[in-house]
Order: sequence, then C-alpha cells, then structure tokens
Amino acid sequence: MTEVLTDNAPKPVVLAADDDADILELVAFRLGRSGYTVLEARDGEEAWKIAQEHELDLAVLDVGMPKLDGLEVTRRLREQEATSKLPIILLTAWVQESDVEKGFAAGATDYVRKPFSPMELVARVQAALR
Amino acid sequence: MHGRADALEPDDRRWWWTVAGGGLGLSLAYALVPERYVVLREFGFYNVVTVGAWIAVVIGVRRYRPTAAHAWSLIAGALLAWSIGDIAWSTYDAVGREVPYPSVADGFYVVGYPLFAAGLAVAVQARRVEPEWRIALDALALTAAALLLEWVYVIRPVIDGDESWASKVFSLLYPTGDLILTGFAALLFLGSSWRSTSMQLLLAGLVATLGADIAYYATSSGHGERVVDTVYLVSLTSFALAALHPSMRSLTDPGEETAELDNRKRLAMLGCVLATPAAVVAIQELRGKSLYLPAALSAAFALIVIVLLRFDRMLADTRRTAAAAVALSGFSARLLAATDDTQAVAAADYVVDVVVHGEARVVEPPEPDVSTHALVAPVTVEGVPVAEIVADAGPREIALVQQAIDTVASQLSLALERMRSRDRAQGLIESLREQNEQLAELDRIKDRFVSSTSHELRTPLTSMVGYLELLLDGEAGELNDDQRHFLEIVSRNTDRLNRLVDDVLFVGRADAGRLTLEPSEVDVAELARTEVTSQEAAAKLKGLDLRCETQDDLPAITGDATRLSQLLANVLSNAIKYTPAGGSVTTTVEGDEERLLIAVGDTGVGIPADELPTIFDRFTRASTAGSVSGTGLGLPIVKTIAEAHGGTVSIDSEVGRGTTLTVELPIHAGINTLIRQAANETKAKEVTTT
Repeated sequence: MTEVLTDNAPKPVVLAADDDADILELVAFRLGRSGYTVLEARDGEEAWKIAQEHELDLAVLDVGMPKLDGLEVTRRLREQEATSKLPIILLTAWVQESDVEKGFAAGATDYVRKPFSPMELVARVQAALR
Repeated sequence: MHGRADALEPDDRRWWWTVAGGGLGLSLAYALVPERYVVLREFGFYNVVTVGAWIAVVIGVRRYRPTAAHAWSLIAGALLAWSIGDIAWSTYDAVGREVPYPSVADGFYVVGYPLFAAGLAVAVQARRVEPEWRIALDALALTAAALLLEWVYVIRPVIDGDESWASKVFSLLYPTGDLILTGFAALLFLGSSWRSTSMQLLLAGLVATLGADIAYYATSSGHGERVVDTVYLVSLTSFALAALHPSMRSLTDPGEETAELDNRKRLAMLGCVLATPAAVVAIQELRGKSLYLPAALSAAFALIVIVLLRFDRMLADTRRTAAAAVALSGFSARLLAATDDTQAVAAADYVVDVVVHGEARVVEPPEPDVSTHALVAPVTVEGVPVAEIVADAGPREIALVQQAIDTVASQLSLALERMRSRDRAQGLIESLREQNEQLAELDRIKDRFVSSTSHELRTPLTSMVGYLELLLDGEAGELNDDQRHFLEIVSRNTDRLNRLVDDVLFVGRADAGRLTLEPSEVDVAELARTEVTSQEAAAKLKGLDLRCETQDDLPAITGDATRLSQLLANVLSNAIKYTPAGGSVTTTVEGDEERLLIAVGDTGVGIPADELPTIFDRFTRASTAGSVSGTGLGLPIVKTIAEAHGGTVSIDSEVGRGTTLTVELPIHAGINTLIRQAANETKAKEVTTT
C-alpha cells in the first residue's frame, strides 16, 4: 500500500531526472501518487537548473544522463551550501561494485539499481526523507 | 727482427765456455807467474789474450752476421791496435830494453780509443738511439765525473810532471781517449737496452778498461802494474766473449725493446756521479796529496747544474706521464658520460693527443688499407671497423704508444657498442610503451562496451518492470481477472528476461576479462545459510524440504562475497527448480585446513550420464529439464565463479535419483591463520523448514 500524505502538510518537493522519457514518467507518476511534488528533468543540465531555481527536499537522479551525468550533479549539489545536505538517490544500470563506491564517493545518499521496483523506490524515498 | 736467439746453442756453449775459461785462466796465469819468466809471461799469456780478443771479434762477426757489422769491425780494429801496441811493448820488455816514452806502442794504444769509440758511435746510430735531452744530460754527467777523475789522477799529474812538453801532450791523449770512449759508451748504454749478454759483457769490459786506465796512473808500484794489466786481460776476455755470443747482434739492432734505466737507477747513478768530486777530495786528503780543489769545485758545480737540468727533465717527464695518466682515467669517465658517438670520439681524440704528445688522432671512417702511419689501432663496433686511431712514434716508444692506442681503441669500441645497445634498448622501450598504450586503449573500449551494453539492456527492462508493477498495483484502475492474469504472465516473463540479461551480462564480462573480484574475508558457511534462508519461501511453495548443515570452525576464505552468494544462489535455485514436490534439497558446507567443500544435493530429476560432460557448456540444458524454464547459463556461471576463486566444480547425478553438485574452494593458508585467531565461533546449525 502506498502512503498518502495528508493535504495539510506541505508536499515535499522531489527532483526526478532521467534521460529515458518512459522511466521519468514512471518515477514521476509513482512519486506523485505517493504524495510528492515532482519536478522533472531530462538531462543533468536541466536538473542542475531546477535545483538552482527551486527548493528541493530530495533528488532522484539517473547516473547515465547526457550533458551532465548524475555523479557530476551530485558533486555540484554537495558543493553548494544550500543543497549540501540534500538527500540524493542515484539510479543506474551500471553493475560493478566500484560504481556503487563512485556514487557514494560523489556524495549520494542511496543507490538503486535498474531495473527497480517503483514501490521499492518510494520506500527508499520515504526512508531518506525521515 | 730482434734476435730472440740470444742464447747459446748447445754445441756453441761448450766452445764459448772454453774461451771464457781460457781467457780467464791465461789472465790468472799472467798475474801469478813470477817476474822473471818474461817471455812466457808476455808472449805465452798476455799477448795470446790480446791477439785472441780481436780474432774472436772477427770470428763472431763472420759467424753471426750482425747488421752494421762495421761497428764490431771497428771494435776489432781497436783491439787489433791495442794488441799490436801490446806486442811492441812486450818485445821491448822481453829484449830487456827500457820502453821509451812515447813509443810505437803508445801510438797504437792511442789509436785504439777513437777506433773503439767509432765502433760505439756506429752502434748508437744503428740502434737509432735518439739523443734526447735526458740521455745527453746523463751521458754528459757521467763524462764530467770521468773527466774529474781523469783530471785528478791523470791530467794534472802529467801536466805537473817533469816530462817534456811534447810527451806531456802525448800523455794527454790517453785521458782524451778515455773520455771519448766514456762519452760514447754512456750514450750507447744509457740510451738503449743492454739486457743481452753480449752488451753486458761489452759494458763490463769497457768499465774495466777505463777503470784500469785511471788506476794505471794512480799507482806506480810494480805489483800495481801487474794487477792493472791483469784487469786489461780480463776486459779483453770480456770483449771476446761479447763478440762470440749470439746476442752480439743486439749491438746494432734497432731493437723494439727500449728498456731504459728506470728513474730510480738513474737517480742512483746521478747520485754517484754527484758524489764523485767529494769522493775525490776525500781520497786525496787521505793520501795526503793535493786536493785539487778548483777542479773538484768546478766539476761539482758542473755536475750539479747537469743534475738539476736532468732533474727538471725528469720532473717534466713525470708531469707528462701524470698528465697522460689523468687523461686516461678521465677518459673512462668521459666515455661513460658521452651521449652520442661524436662525444665519445672527441674524448678519445683528446686523450690520445695528450698521451702520445700530439702525434696521434682518431680517424673516421677508417683509411683504406694503405696506411701511412706507423701505428694503427682499429675501433670496431660489433666486429665492424668504424674508425682507427693512428699514431707515429719513435722506435723507443713504439711498444708504449701501440699499447696506449690499443687501450684507447678498445675502450672507445666498447663505449660505441654500449651506445648502440642503449639506443636499441631505447627503441624497445618505446615500442613496448606503444603496445602498452594500445592495450590500455583496448581495455577502455571493453569497459565502455560492457557498461553501455548493460545500460542499453536494462533501461527498457526498467520501464517494463516498473509499469507492470503499477498496473498490477491497480494504480491505473481496477483490473479484471483476465487482465490480471495476462499481466502476471507478462510480469513473470519480464522477470525471466531480467535474469537472463543479468546472466548474459555476467558471462559477457567474464569473457571480456572485465569481471573483477573484490576480495574480503568470507565466511562461506554463513553465506550458505543466508542463501538457503532466502530460498525458503520458494522451496516452501513447491513443498520441498530444505536443509543446511555447516561444519563448526570452518576457516574463512579470501573471496568475493557477492560472487560466492551468486554461486550459491544459482546452485540452490537449480536444485529447487529441478526437484519435484515432496523432494528435498540439502546443503552441506564442510572442510579442513586445505579446502572447503560446498555440496548441494537434491532428489530431483537428475542428469543423464552422457550429458554430464557438456552440462557446463553455455546454453546447454539437460534433456530431463522438461518444461522447467532456464537459460542454460546457471552452471557456466557457477563454474566461472568457482574457478575465479581457484576452485573446481563437479556433478554427480543419476536420472530419477537426484543430483549433487560439489564446489571445492581452496583456502589460502597464510592469510587464513591470521583470521583464525579472530574468527567468529560458527556452530553447526540445522535449518529445517517444513
């Protein structure tokens, strides 16, 4: 069952970035249904722009994006004072353990492998926001 | 060319020694025979020797045929003149008459000296003795000392004596002759080798003659005269023996041996020479005679000047030798420091210039066969002549110079060869570096391929898995039974596809060598228990009995935990898949110091014996698999992981009875013992589910 937040509380703002339109729609739909406001980005640059212009509560970033990849966006977010503590979840199709290390080294909070269960993603988002 | 045959042949030896014995015997006889036997004395003994001496020289010349034979001939002439004089003198003596002075005998005696000196002069020229400064100075010093001695013991007494002027003048011819002889003898012997027997005998004879000449005037007693005469006889014998020895050729041979007196002997000689004035004064003092101080002082002064000049020459020589030595040692260092051929050759050129006093240089490329230089040393690189060192040198220095340029040439050759091989090594290093670059690039390409393939395959799967989940969760609306059923089928197959993609990617990475193990200390027993636990649900669904037995105190091994989990998961899922309801799957983990054994046995459908050998091939499935879904990659993956840990996999199976798959993993003893002490206590657990 998905948890639905009450209307009184302000909805947490989540940035979702993935270069695959279908996956982006999937994530946005699932998170939206779970009571989050989702801002969508199609690539790293767009993601970074959105991060500058809005106040975010969490970011879900695909690692393999063009222009700016998820790792780079993560690093930048960490360098910025305002977003240095922002929970960041990375999505990736990459498989090696060293990729996981790279993700955490860049400053990610959590790491989800593709293909993933959307329910699992929601659970991780909730955990990260607590 | 230089007569190596300066030893007497056996036949000649007896003959030669006979002459020696005869000469010395006659001399002794002459010395001892009483005064009164004049004729016997003079003609039986004395003149036999004097005549025999020049006859011996003539015989020697005819026998050995030396070059520039007229040197010896002149010596023979001198001895002849002396012997004629002796015969004349003896005749006077025998007849009983007082010998007049000067007489015919004296004439012949006096003539002998320049003849002898001329013979020595011819020898000096034939030997190509270069009258260098140092030899000239040495000879001059010797002659000056001899002059002093002559002056004190011969010349002054004559001048002060009461003879007529004419006879005084004549008398002075003797010391003059002595001095000429001394001078040429000094030049000959100081300037070249006198190692040969003949030369040594000649020298001995000359010293004896000159010494006797001085003594003749110094003594006046009868006995003294006899002694002096005996010494003459001995010296004549010496001359004879010198001429009769095969090495007599060396008198006029421009020998390669230029063994000069080394510096110490030279100094010793000069020291004696320098001491002569003092010695003379002392002797005169002892005898109570006139001290001849002016003469002694002038001689001393002259000798000191000569010795100083000589010393300066010696210092200059030493300095030059030292400079050459420094140049040679610096040469090695410069060769090592040279970075190319030009520098090495320049270093060689410089050192050769210094060592051979500018008479040598490096010539490249090598000049054609007709070489105009006396000495040549080739410079070869791996057997191929690339240059030459050419030099000219006087006969005295030939051996030394040849040796010097040989040394330099060989060092230069080595240096050039070293540079060649260093260049080759450099080339090798370069090509290896290039190859390394290419291999690194290949690695990068493989990495890119692996990650992009993975990405490409998993992206669409993500959407499929995700949206299916949404639909099945009812997020797009309620589903009717058919819709649900169909979607579940799709979902199952998507999962299958997902697993297949994982397996294919794994095998693909292993092939490309991109599979990396991340080692850590792994408790295999614990992994096994965890895997079994996680498969419980699936087993339960099928109604299978799942057991796990692990041995106590199993050592941890160094391995990749994730991969080993993957291995165990694959084996277990296989066992569960191919065992029908009611069966059981038992997992055992046991081992010892050397290895671990993981066995998963089931009561499943089994594998036919003839299919066992190929069961680990990719995409190969047993015929007994029937309708069970599978990729055919499970076992290859298990095998790959086991082998990556240095282990082996084996299967034991019987159709209808079941299959047991055993994985054997070695334990690295060294690392393990360390772990042992800190190991957790592991107890055998029996995990059963019903």
